[in-house]
Amino acid sequence: MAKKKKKNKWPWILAGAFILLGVVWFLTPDDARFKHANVWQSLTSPGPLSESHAFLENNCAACHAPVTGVEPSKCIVCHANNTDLLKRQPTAFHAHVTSCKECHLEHNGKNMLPTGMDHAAMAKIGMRALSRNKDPQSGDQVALANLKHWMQMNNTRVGGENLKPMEKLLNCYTCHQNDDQHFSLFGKDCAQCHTVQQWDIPQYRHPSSSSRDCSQCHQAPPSHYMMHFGMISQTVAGKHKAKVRECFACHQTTSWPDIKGVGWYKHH
Amino acid sequence: MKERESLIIGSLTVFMLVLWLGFLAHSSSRFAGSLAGGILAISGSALMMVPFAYVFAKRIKWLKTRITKFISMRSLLTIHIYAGILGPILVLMHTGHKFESTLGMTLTAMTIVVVISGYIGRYLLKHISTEVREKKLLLTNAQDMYQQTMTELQARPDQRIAIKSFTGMLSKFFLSIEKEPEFALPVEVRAIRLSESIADLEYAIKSHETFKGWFGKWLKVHFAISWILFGLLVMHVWGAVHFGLRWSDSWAPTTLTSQYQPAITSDDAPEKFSNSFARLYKEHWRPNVTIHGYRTTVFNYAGLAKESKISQSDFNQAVTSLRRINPHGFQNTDQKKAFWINVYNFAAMKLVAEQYPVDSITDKKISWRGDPWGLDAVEIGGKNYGLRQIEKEILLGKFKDLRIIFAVSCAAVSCPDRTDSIFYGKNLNKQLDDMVRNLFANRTKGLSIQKNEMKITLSWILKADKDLFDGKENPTLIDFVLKYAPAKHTAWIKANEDKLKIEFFEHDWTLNDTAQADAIKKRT
Repeated sequence: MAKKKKKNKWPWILAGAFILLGVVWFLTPDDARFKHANVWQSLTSPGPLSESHAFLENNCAACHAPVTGVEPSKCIVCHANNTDLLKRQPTAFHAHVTSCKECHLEHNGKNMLPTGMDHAAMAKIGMRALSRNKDPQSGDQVALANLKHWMQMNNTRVGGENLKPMEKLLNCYTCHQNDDQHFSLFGKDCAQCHTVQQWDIPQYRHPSSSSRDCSQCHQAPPSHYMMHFGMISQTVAGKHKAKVRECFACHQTTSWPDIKGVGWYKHH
Repeated sequence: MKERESLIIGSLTVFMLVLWLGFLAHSSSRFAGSLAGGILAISGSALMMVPFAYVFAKRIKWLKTRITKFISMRSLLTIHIYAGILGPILVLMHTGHKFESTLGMTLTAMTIVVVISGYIGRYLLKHISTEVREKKLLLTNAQDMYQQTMTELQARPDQRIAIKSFTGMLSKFFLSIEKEPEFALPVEVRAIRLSESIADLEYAIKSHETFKGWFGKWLKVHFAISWILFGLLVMHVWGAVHFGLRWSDSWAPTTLTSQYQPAITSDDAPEKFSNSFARLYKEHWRPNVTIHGYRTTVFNYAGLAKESKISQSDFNQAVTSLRRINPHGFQNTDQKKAFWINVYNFAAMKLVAEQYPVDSITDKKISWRGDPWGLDAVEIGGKNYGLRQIEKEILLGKFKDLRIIFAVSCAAVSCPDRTDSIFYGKNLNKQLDDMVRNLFANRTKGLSIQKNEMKITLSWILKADKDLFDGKENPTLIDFVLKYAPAKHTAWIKANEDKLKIEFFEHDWTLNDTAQADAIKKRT
């Protein structure tokens, strides 16, 4: 009998707790901290925002939407019409990219720049955009089918061993054309040698410092083809018979301004 | 079997703790929200719900009787234990060792605490209980032997005195160096030894039981912290959904949606809309059909539904041209009024056609709350409009013309008949007048007169919007009826105005659909 009584006290405790909560709610001022949604929301914050977005720290809804999360429309509210960005060749793709959050990661700390290029994500966004356009006349479906087919047999792409399958779909040259120091003499498929992580090639070994074939790769600056060459360059180096394509005669492999027998010489 | 289970669970618990400590070496900020992380989260928390089966089955009698038919409580407990450890392991994997948010950290800590409390209760406390049981058994044996020795001793009273010298600490020392077998010991020594053993055992049992007493509240604690964990989990899931599920990207539309693009309006859109709507209307309008005794006009909703699925049909052309209309661009009031009436009627038609077959606009298929008037029905110039908004805010709010309540379609058989064409600004007045006259000429739902009872029965529409006929801004009900009722009745109504009893027709929400016609129904 006593046991039964003990069992029945729980509903009372719960009801009491609810009533207590209600009383606390009504007795506390309207601006009490626990009555602000953002105080509760901040409990779930996965880390501080970057400095430029820090003013949104207490306004989750400025960027987040239920289920879909961070929608591009919310970024665009502030970041639309960035003409500097859109006019610059390497970043002009922003005009067509339909999603921001893949590369612009947030909540990584105040001092972190919320930008990190993710090539695979860009390819994915492109594929998604193609797959959503069901209009047969746009040709997007055909392009998508071709891309998918290409992905299946995509290992036919020479080079780019370090690329993910998605990254292989991208045409490097569209954005990186201006970075091509080889004047497209090595072709347009940058990924044959370069990776998406870094543009430099750590494995690259410069030919021997006693090699004399410099001009195969290096081109002299315009001034070397003018009177400047005889009046200044040859005179400074003390090599009056040096020819423009015989770089090795005056220059050393440490750096171009490092002149044999002269040392560091920077004219301008 | 038992030992093996204990070993497995013990190792899993240790594994969970090691897994959690992994954050010292590794942390991934993106894993938790990725697809793999999401799958781990969902399966982990689903497993964490499984233990509730045992909890409820144990406490709810009718559930227990039903469940134990299929599975024993013992198996349920085993499931409780395994799910209770595997679930937390999966959710700890889901964290990717990223412990940043207050809620996330509390949730993780609580998960670990609940698992450990479960482990303590199941395996450590059980161990104590077994020990107490074993010691109690030893105690009864020792007590029996002591009784025997005491009877032996009582038989030889002279030796009782000798015992005295052996009591105290010294006796213990003295006895312990003696290695003789017990039965060979003198009876008095045996008695002392036994009494000491009994004291030891009693002390051990007592201390064990105190220990057990401390943990006696264990189950309550385990229960309470599990519920706290559950509450935190609910908050966490809410947070995840509220702030967005990253892994849902692959199927959620993230492209710029039309509502963020400026509405592109064009000047010929209103004309295009009325042309498409007029063709659509003419094609599917049928007069003089009887449904449930009401003489009414109907639409062929099956045909409309079919058109709604064809991309270049009049139906869809009307939809697309509406999107390109600037609703503030009308110069002429009548044109504007006619436009909004047409939009209302088209929207009502669209709501039904898109969910057809339905028997009524109030069908749950259209609005599960039974409120189709609150739904976003059409998009005009980049903005969504609902039926109620069009009627109350725009039509009645701006134009103050009571004929409008008859002109907008409620897609039901007891509503005013639809005119044979859509509304046009140029002869809107005549069209509206005709519409109301037509209703009052209809004895089945508009106006019926029982002269002998001094009673008139009016359309239910007038009952629904009775308050509008206030006699100030608008005419009174009788004045309105007199204005539009057939000429043959007006004299009689006017003569008996004061004595008249006004009643209203019952409303019937049945769809004004060709397929609802009585004749067709009889045939089928």
